Amino acid sequence: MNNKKIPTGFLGVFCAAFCSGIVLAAYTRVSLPAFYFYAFLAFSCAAFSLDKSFRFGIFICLLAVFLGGTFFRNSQFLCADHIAKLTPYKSREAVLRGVIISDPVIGNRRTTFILDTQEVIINRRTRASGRVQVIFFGKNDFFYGQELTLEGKLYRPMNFSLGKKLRYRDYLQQQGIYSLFSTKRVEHLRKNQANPVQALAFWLKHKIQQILRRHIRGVPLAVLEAMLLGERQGIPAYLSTAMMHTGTIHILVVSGFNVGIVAFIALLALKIMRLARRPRYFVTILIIILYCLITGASLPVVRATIMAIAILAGKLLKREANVYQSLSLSALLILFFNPSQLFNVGFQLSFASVLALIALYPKIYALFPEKLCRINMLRLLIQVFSASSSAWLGTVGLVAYYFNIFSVLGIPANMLIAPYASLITAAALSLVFIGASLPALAFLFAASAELFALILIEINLFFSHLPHAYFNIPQLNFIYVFIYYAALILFVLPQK
Amino acid sequence: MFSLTQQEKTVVLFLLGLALLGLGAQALFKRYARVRDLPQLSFKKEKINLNNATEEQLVSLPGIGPVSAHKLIEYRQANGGFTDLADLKLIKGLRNQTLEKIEDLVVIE
Repeated sequence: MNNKKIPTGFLGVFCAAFCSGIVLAAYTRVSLPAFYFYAFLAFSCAAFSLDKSFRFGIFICLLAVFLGGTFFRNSQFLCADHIAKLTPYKSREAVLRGVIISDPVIGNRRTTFILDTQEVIINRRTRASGRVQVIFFGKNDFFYGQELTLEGKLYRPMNFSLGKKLRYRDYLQQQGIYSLFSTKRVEHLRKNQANPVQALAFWLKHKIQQILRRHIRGVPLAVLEAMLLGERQGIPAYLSTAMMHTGTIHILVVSGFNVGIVAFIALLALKIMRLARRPRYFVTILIIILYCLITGASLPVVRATIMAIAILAGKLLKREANVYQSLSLSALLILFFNPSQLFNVGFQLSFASVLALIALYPKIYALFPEKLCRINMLRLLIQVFSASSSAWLGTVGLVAYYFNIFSVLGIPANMLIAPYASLITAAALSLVFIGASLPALAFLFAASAELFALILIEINLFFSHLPHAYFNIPQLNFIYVFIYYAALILFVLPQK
Repeated sequence: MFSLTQQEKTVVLFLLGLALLGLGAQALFKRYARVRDLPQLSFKKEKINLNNATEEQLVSLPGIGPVSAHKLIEYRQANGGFTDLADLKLIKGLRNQTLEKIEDLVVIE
């Protein structure tokens, strides 16, 4: 990593300009045709400046800004047969036909899933498109890719608040969901109507869940399912609150951290199996893509998967990988697909933490005298401290703004818990592997994974019960958060 | 700026041009999309026979939860089945609103 220069490159600048275009579109009333016209103008100017390097760069930046605006406006522009346009303002009886495109979440009395709508009957039967979140009351066997006909009530989501700045309706809209459907009557039509690779990934996920559930019970099972598969339904409220207060909740979200561990374990296992260098990287890329699909392709996992693929592909092609370029590429791909994700808290936290890790880590590490860094044990401690503190510094502003919490113990708790969490993930992965290949021996691995999970719970509860572990702070104005991040960037920028 | 070669610049411009064209085409498709009517959807509207319906089938009725379904089955077993829809009014906990909702969806045979 270069300490003096920040090699953001073309993709970094393009990504920043693209994001500012999205923000511009979100907070102004500039229409889609206007954005498109300006983008076309910038494109034409860039085409005529191919031989002038500086002018070309300026026009490409302008094009990125207007493209960002066009992408955002286009994503907000719904066609006439979109289910959002057919949903009445007041809840109304309707019949929907469509395909399940998410892994159904089964609760005590209800099952929730996302349906890709194909047809709807409200007054008359019409073609429809778009996603609907379905809440089915009762017991039924639902799975990904199933085509269904449902009879129930179609309505718009309420605008209640999850926090002061997080609204449920906005959150759903960021996922492309504008309508809800509650039902009790269902008719199963055909199976396997969606992506077969995703269906395979969910099948694997259920197999992994079966292995974990066969050997482990209670809260440790919930912790392992959350860490390995991103299934957080079983996590008790007291534990998630404690982890939020200690700033270690990210452990329970499948994130880049988990993708990194899976990639590391896969590379190590393939190396032990004496697989050659190139096939090893190639198989690891396939494994992390499958892992991304197994966990439901949540934002941080997609981000980490794209970054890991870019880095591994660089190694495969014997090219030097640039972390900034791969981070920018992952941000751009996510935003091309859904520009509204820029306003998603998960997106912001995920990118802020990784960016901080890349940019701040060397600065913080360099603050320690070289003499100390030469001692092995101390160097390890300094590395862990630098990583924890840079991630904490990168996210503390956003956490304070969105959740009104200031976690004092974030750095020491993460210094202990983050490395420990990799041990738990490795233990859980070993259990899954042994459970699938040598089930008779799985109880041994299950016992150790359960013990590790129990210790993690106890450490978290210990930290959260310490006096002044965290502070609830009043609602922050965004300007303070902006000043904080501007100061952070100034600290990171190279000084002349 | 960006230190791109002439070839790289052309590729970047070509890709961005394609994206721009695609965006315009997609926006036009959306703009001129119409709601297309279809013939009646073949949703099975089979009525549920209260005298042999399972608990799962009963729960699928609007306003009937697991508790009400259990009461319906208990009544059916104790009295040898329902003879008329009016029998439903004898079951405690079943509101008139619920009876109105389900009367078109059930049958007694």
